[in-house]
Amino acid sequence: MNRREKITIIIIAIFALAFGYRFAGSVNNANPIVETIPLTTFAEFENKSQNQKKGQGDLYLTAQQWAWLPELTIHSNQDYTLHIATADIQHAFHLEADAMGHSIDVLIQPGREYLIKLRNLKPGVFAIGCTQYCGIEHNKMRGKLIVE
Amino acid sequence: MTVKQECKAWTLLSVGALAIAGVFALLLVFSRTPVIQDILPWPWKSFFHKGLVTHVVFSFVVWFLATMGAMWSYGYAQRVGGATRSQVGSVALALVSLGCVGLILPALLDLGTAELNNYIPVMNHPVYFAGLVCLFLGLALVAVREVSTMQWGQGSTICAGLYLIALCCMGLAYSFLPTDLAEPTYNERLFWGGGHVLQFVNTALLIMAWMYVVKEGSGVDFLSKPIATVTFVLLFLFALPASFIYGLFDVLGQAHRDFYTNMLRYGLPLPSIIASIGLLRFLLSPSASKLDRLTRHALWLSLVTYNLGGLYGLMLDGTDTRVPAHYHAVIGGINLAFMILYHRVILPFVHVDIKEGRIFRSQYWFYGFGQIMHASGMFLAGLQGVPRKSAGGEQALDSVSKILSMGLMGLGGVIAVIGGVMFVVITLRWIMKGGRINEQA
Ligand SMILES: [Cu+2]
Repeated sequence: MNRREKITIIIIAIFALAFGYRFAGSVNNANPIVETIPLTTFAEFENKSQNQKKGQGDLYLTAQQWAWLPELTIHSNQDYTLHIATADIQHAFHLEADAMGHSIDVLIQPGREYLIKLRNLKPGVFAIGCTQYCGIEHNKMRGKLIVE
Repeated sequence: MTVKQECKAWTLLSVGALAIAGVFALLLVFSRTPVIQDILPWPWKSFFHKGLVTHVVFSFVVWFLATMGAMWSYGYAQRVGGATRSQVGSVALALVSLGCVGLILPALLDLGTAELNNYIPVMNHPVYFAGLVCLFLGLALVAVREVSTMQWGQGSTICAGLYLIALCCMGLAYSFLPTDLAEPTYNERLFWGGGHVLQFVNTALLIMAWMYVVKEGSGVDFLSKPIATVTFVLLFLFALPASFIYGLFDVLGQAHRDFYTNMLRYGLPLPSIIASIGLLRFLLSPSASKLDRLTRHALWLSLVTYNLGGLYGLMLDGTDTRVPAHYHAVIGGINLAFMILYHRVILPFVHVDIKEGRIFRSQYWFYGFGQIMHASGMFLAGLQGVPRKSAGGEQALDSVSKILSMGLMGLGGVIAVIGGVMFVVITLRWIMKGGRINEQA
């Protein structure tokens, strides 16, 4: 091994350590942006969602094959708690980065209600997508969040 | 069977897989064409998705894995000699061929339901899964032969190690997953970890292909031995934790899912960048002139397309068409490397003669530029996302640029398909003309 190769390998090693460090840091069991509540049945979630009065800070969104329901229209100068549950199998909620300055990606498993804080929303129409394969029409599972 | 004959059989299998994928693409078009739809005997409604699964599994999974078989047997022949006999090779080839039959039948006989999950698309039917098991097992035999000759630090050995880790992940997923799970979730999680590790395998194959082509054409190692070893070892180190994660986190949970996404995000860039810089420096150096023009151009196209895909990968978010833009360009770059590897290294090695003309050379430009246009169109379309709320004029402008990017994507796709079809037809004809596999070597 010549001198140049040694220097190259040292540089590679530094980068490798940096990548490895960030990789190790990314491994975590708890998703910090989300709280969850156990649900015995999906009907429990449906009830809550129907008894919800308009204009309050709680929003309810159902994930199902292959749609996000209902379409939500909210205000930019208010903070919200978004409640999500799945009516059938695993999905994943993804809100594009433009809405709050960073994207949100939460796996939605059956038997749980997921609570996500929506803050500092910008006005606009933002894409909601499913990032967990959930059946043959998975690609059509798209929705939008309308912020006025 | 000698190692050289084995290498030729892998070549036939891999290019043949692309031909099968092409036939299924054609059937897909027929299944949506009004008059023809009524003439042919299939239940077309369920064929479309099944045909798509078969097309993807042959054009991506079988093509890559059989090319891996060709590269391993080529590398093995360099070490032990092409005339050496290998029992392992013939058993592996028989298994993989049998596997291919299992992967085709469900679409033709309308068995089970289609599932377009990530990495390894699936038909929910025992015949299809048996086909997958034969395919993976066949290559596992060759991988074990590769690892047992143990040339530590050599690309092909590490590639084989990575492949075995991928299989290990699939096996662990199978044992951890509850059997009463819904099929989409089951299939996605079954191949999630292993599928991610297979992308490390693909990266190793790309770097190996570049190295073989440059070495064969110019005698130069564009990555010196220690640097090459470091590059492959890095791939291995980042993929090594992959199978342990099954014991640490719930196989159905978010931590498990995100671990593999992050493994790609942090594990693949560095080895890719080292190899790309190495190849770039070589192509700009005077020794590059030792390569013939076509090889040089093919390597440039591969390098640019692959790195464009990497760049798109850094800028994707969520679910829009930036995701397929990323992987189309990356796969396109790898395919270009495989094309020139076959034409310049593998086919000459198995004594298949090549006649070069303008049509032959143009397939690279068609495929390369087609993929670049196709992926870039998809990326631009994805970037525009949901139409923003804006006044009428602006809205119209918004849709004009959207139509332009869709057009770029469509046109690029057609051009790339022309290039791909040229590769398959031309290369397959040569392989067939090259005589029976047993006559050679
Ligand atoms: Cu979904």
